[in-house]
Amino acid sequence: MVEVFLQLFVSALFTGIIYSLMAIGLSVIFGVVRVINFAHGEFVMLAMYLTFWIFRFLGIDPYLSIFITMPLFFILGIALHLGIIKHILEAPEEAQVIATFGVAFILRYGAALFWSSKHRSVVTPLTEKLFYLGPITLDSPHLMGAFLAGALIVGLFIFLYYTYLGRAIRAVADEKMGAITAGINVGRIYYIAIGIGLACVAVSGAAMIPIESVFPTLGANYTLLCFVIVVLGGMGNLWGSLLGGIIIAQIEMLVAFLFSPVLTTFAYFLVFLIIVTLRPTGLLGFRERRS
Amino acid sequence: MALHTDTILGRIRPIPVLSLMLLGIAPFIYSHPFYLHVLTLTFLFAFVSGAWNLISGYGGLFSLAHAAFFGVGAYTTAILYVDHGITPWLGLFLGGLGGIVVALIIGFATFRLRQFFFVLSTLACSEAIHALFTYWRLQVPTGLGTTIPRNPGFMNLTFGTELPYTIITYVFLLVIVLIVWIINQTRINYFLRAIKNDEDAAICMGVDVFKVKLLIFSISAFFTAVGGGFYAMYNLYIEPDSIFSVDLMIQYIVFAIVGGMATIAGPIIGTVVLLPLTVFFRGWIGGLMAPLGFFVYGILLVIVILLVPGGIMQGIKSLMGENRWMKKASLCWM
Amino acid sequence: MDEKGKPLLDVKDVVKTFGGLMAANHVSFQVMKGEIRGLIGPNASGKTTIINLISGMYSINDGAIFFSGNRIDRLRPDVIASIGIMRTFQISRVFRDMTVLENMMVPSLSQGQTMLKARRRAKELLEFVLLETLMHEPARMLSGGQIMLLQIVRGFMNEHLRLYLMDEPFAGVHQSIKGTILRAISTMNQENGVTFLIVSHEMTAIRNLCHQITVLHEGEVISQGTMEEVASDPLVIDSYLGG
Repeated sequence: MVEVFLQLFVSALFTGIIYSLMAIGLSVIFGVVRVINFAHGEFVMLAMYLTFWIFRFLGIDPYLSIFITMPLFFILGIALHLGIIKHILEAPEEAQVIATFGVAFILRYGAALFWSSKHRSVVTPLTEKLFYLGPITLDSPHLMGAFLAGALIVGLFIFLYYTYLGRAIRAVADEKMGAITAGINVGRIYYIAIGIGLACVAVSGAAMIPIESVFPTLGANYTLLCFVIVVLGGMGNLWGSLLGGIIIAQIEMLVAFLFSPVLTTFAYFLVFLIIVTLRPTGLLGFRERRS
Repeated sequence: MALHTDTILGRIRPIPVLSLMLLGIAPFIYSHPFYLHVLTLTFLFAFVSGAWNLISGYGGLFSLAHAAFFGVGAYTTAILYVDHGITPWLGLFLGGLGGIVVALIIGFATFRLRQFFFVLSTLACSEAIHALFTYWRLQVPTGLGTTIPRNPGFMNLTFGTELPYTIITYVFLLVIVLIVWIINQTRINYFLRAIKNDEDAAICMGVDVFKVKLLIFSISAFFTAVGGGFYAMYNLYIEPDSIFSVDLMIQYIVFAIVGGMATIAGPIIGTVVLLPLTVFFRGWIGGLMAPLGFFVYGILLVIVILLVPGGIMQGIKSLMGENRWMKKASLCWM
Repeated sequence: MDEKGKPLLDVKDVVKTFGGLMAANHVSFQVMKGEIRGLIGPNASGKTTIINLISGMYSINDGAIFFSGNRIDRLRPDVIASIGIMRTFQISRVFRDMTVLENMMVPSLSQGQTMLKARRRAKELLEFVLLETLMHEPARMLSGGQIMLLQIVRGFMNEHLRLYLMDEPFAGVHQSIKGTILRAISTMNQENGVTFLIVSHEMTAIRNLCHQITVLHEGEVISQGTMEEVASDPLVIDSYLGG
């Protein structure tokens, strides 16, 4: 019994790192641009589909195709900002929700129209490999996915804390007015932040597709998941998103194991209620509540 | 400037009343069951859309929890009727109360925080309640779906013909129109608009923002749940995936947005224009192209919110001219 | 409820921090009933923070705020309004899509006044400040000074008004409107006994209007007294008025 639990724990740990990367993508965009993006999960879904199709038609391993998908998604981020986000920056929150919800619908049902609702997954000789760590069996999708996600998270943190551009991004996230007076081109930072956020999404999609198969409505789950992680960890706090992802994966595993996989979304809501009632700023957040 | 605001009668606008009367006559023009079916669905969804509009349009709090309210109403009515023989009329009311309970939970948790928390909580809530009911119905011997026996009779809210359903949904529609109109005649109208304009200033002016939001959200939840309960008795079959469907909710949300939020006529116009199209479209194109409908909804949402946020009503307003409109708008917010 | 000698507003050792920044550092002062108190100081000295703390917009980290002997620092802003404390904002906040008249009615309606009486009182007050011709205009159509005036006179709608917190009521306001505001404050103070706490940079207005002045600097009270006393205080001259 303990072994089963340990197995699940470790497995969820690895999945959690991938979730963290997904949520960090959302956190970077939200923290800098301050727009509620309800289509976030759909972009993950899109990344998974893209990775799948690249694998299908070009035979490139998902862990390598990120060198194609990352730049592509960076550009997609720029297009998204140009086309939609830029126009709803100053809009009331309802407008942002509605607009991004519309985008989510376009992506979700566009995927259903063009690619049908069939489940797609990636299976390579690499993904079949198993590793043994004592009593625990690990499959390479979990291992590789977590490694990939973890590497990107580390890279992102180095970028944000040790490069000028990264610090500029953090400055805009913390205090936009101050950043403007410091001479930072906020407009350009927005593009870069969104691009980075979507690049994270691209990698998380690549990490995810060998583990979970993709279908058009998967995005909805991920949107909710990422938002709950971001709230749990603390809005605009990247360390919080990292911690939140890992915790949520464990909660998901526990609920599925002890009750039923069906109840995981109910668990998300409970977690959300508890955090919002007891500590709205999140586990690591510190922003003042009122305007 | 005599604006006739001092009498209730003076505030009733002729065109909306005439339009409502026209809709009321519609069921009797033609008796083909499919025509009446479309009419029933139109009235029902205009009703639910109007209820949604109360919190999201007038209240300015975009809610995705209405799938939960709809489903809770449906299951309360269905289970009470099927398992306990309680008349669906009472079931509708109790379902409405159930909706209020859910609304209060969300409200107490999120109303004191930024709006983002509210919107997210409503989405999480709909998914959560969906999961909960799925889990429950999986344990039950009758299985995931619930079939409601067809025993025609007024107290069973079941009828042999289509017309009674159409009339009932029309009455529902009148009720929600009346409720919204009455609310707009009271001080709640002032509070809602103050909150929408500047919530912090409103609270500093003494408006009990929390209580106002709870009130409006509860009313919205109640009637949405009633709509769900009716839907269950109309379909005579419900299952968690369909009744808690976010896609279903998005439909009546789109109706309200396209028609014009924060107006009484908006949800009705949006439903009247879009719902029959959806029905014909689905019948014509068929299952394989069903995603196309929602794809189009997505495009509609983006276009409307970017270009004409006030929907069709905004278009009508701009035709009428700003000044004439402002005087009307500040009266009954039509 | 408040006897002679007891302060109407008692700010006791209030501390407020934002992250690492201490916006209010053990701020203490008292305002007596019927006073017009000035609150001055350089930018970012904590003046607006104090107003926000008293009106309930922010919660204090330490200390206490008393109004008529009752503790108010944990109350919600709408409750604080109902016990008779109103405020204006430095950047005017009116309900832009509502008419001037409707703006005025909100405070009365929230206190349970009937629509009829609220409308009547609103019209009276609007006449008092010469805004009644704009009664049915949407508030966003007004000029900057008129919006500030609307904001101010809207607070007077509160029939239980005892303490009025004003944040830069004269900022960017035309001379004639400034005169109207001064007149309104004096009248409400002398005829209705309303106590005022006014944050402002306008020294002439402060000198003419205020009985006493409290000076803030970097979140601390550095001086208090009449305008003459405060103006000759070396601490104040160093940090604000002169050097």
